[in-house]
Amino acid sequence: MTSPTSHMEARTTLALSFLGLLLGIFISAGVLAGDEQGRVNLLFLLLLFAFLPLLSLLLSLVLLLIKQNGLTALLVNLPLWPKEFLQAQVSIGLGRRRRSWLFFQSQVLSLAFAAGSIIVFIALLLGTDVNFVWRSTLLEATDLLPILQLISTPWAFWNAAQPSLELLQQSQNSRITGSASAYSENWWQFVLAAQLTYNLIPRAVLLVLARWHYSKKPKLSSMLERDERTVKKRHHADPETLAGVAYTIGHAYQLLDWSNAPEHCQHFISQSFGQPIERCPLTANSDLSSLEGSVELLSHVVVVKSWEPPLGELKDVLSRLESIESPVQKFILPLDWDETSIKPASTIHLQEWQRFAASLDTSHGSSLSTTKAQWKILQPGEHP
Amino acid sequence: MTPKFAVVGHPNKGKSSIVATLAQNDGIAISNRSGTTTRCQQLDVNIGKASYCLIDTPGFQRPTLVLAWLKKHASTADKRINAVKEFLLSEDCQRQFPDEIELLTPIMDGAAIIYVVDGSRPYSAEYEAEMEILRWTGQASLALINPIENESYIEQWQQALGQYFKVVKVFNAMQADTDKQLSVLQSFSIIREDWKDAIDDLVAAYQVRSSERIAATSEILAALLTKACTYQLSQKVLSKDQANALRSVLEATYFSELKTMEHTHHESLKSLFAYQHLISEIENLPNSDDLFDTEKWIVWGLNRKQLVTAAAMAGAAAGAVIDLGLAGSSFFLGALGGGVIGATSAWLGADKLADFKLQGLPVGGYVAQQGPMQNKNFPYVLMGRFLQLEALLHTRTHARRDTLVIAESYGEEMRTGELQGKISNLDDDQQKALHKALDRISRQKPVEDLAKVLKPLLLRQRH
Repeated sequence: MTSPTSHMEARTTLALSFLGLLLGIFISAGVLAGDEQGRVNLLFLLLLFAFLPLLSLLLSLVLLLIKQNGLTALLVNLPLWPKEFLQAQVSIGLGRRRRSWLFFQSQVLSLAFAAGSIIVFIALLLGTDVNFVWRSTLLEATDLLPILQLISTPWAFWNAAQPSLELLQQSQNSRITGSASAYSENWWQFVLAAQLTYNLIPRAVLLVLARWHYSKKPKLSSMLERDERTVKKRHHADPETLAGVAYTIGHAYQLLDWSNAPEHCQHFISQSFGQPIERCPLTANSDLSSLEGSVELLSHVVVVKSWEPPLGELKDVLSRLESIESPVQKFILPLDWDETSIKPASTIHLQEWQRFAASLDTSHGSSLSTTKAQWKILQPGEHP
Repeated sequence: MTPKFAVVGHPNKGKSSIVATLAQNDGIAISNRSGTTTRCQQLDVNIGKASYCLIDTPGFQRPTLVLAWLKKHASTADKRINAVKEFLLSEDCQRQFPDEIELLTPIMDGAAIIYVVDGSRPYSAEYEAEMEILRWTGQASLALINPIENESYIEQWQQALGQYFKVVKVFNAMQADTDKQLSVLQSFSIIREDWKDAIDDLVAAYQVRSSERIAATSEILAALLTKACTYQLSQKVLSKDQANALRSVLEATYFSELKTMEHTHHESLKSLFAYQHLISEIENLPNSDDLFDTEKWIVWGLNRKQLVTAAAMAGAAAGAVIDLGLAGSSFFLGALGGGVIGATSAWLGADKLADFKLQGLPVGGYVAQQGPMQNKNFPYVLMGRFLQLEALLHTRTHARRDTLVIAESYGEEMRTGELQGKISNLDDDQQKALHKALDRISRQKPVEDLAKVLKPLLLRQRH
């Protein structure tokens, strides 16, 4: 899909092409029309088709190098453009990108001008007998020849388009003598070659280069897109299965300490749930066989740090325990504490442990069994 | 050589947040649930021509058992790296320890280690197994203490981590600015000398991007100001009655379009700062959701006095051009007159909004027009709001998932006159150019290089 900016850019290019073409056609037609006898001043033609294009070419290159916007900037800033154009210009971008854009547009304008000039020139050559003459008060044919030879150096391989002293002398025109040779029409190859060499070809080359240079400059929209990187799929939480929360233990219990809880925590547990029958440290390498047969009809209470997420190691240990014993009740007791006191576990942490406890039942299939107790989360206090 | 960093640690200690902040990517999944990251997720971060790779890894799940396995397979230090390689290749280990296999694989492929812990919770010995495993890999590493809730245990962590890592840094994923982020990468140029050039290139690329962002921000702001200030809505109608009936619809559509325009450019700014998912709320004004309540515009733009001064400066600058043209023979009456005219029109037009106009057509019928916005303060208001969004985006990290609320970040007293404060930090010439440009834009006149005029303001705000 074409963006409004691209559309406006295309419209600007088209408008400038049209303007350049019209200028080329009218100015060339004016100069090539000559006098009433169809005589065209060769020096004026050279000025229009070689010197001026060369000068403007150099000027636009210099302006580009010294970071000035030049004539095209003046043109596009004229109040004759529609408001949308003003908006689109902003979207094109400013600074270096704008300069590149203006340089490109100036080449569009110049190439269209060159094309218009050549079209008129060829049309007049086909339709009329253009008589090329030159006039000068100060210069002689011998003075002019080296200049013309220098100009024609790029097309040295094209003999018919080379100037000669004879041709120069024959085409010199004087208002007094009023005559020039019929051979003067042979100048057309020279004029055409000059137009192609100093106007059309360099502008076409520059247009291609300017287009390439402009397209290389990042657009504002592409700058916005550039920072978009591979974005991972956002996490969509599965429907949660949470284990229930209990606040009391109905049986005597065995305290399995996964958290290496400090003394004040142990004291708090005893105060909250009564003294455990047994207190066992639980680690990833615990020898669980020592627990075998000692926990019949007891509850298991596994103490964990609420803020630490449940690890696979704990899951492994609990499933090993599951395979050895079937206690009446199974609890995970997440506790939060600092050096001196016990703090209520945060909801986020509790939910983490509830998910973990539920996953234990699911992974061991105990949810399907009516004989096995399910894991619950144990919390101090009363049921809210 | 592209530097690669594997971000590892205990589950749910902010690894993904660190990745999101360092990669400046708000698309990274961050969750309070542990185990969000189950597979390594590689993120190629391209900054201009420089690049690096960040790997978000699953957390350690069975570090004690893994370390026990490794110890069994390496009796001396020289065999440790091979033991880790053996661990990765072992089918039994792949089955038993999928998380450790997943997280150690990129490390053994050459990624440097960024080990993340939570500085708001106490250190405990259970972390030693995983730090030891990382040490066994022999890779360059550093530790980041991410104070998720508070900074209570940072010192404790520093002491413990210092025994396992050469470099230990405190890095709050929710607050770390670009300099802090770069300092993490730069630390690796010391630890891994072969990455020095690549990391230097990265740092340079970040600086280039920063200046490119300022330029692009100026362009977005210039585009917003130009589009909003020149926006006009028109509708052909057959009669005056029809036009009057249409008036309220046209007016509502016009103001709604302006709001959409502002929203679109704010979204562009967020995209420029690589926020693809950020939801922002601009609480327009206290007790009002209406952008077009002129009385309250001063909170975002300039108050009447400031506006008059600005308009006087703009008028004087324009008048001075006439004086220059007359080579001073006007005795600076141009500047003086321009200033007076500017000030007066600003004073009188301070409450003026967009007009509704009805124009007859030569072929019959009418054109009902709403806009463009006449109020001189309008571009200042848009600019003030845009600058506040920019300031907040600049200081925000991509790990944050909360809604960006602009109004709550600033007290009303701070906001009032804040724009004027920012403008007055500019040089005199820059101030004049800004007021002149905004004056022209409020009169729907084209401004050459508006972005260039706005850029100094953004630069000042940034620094």
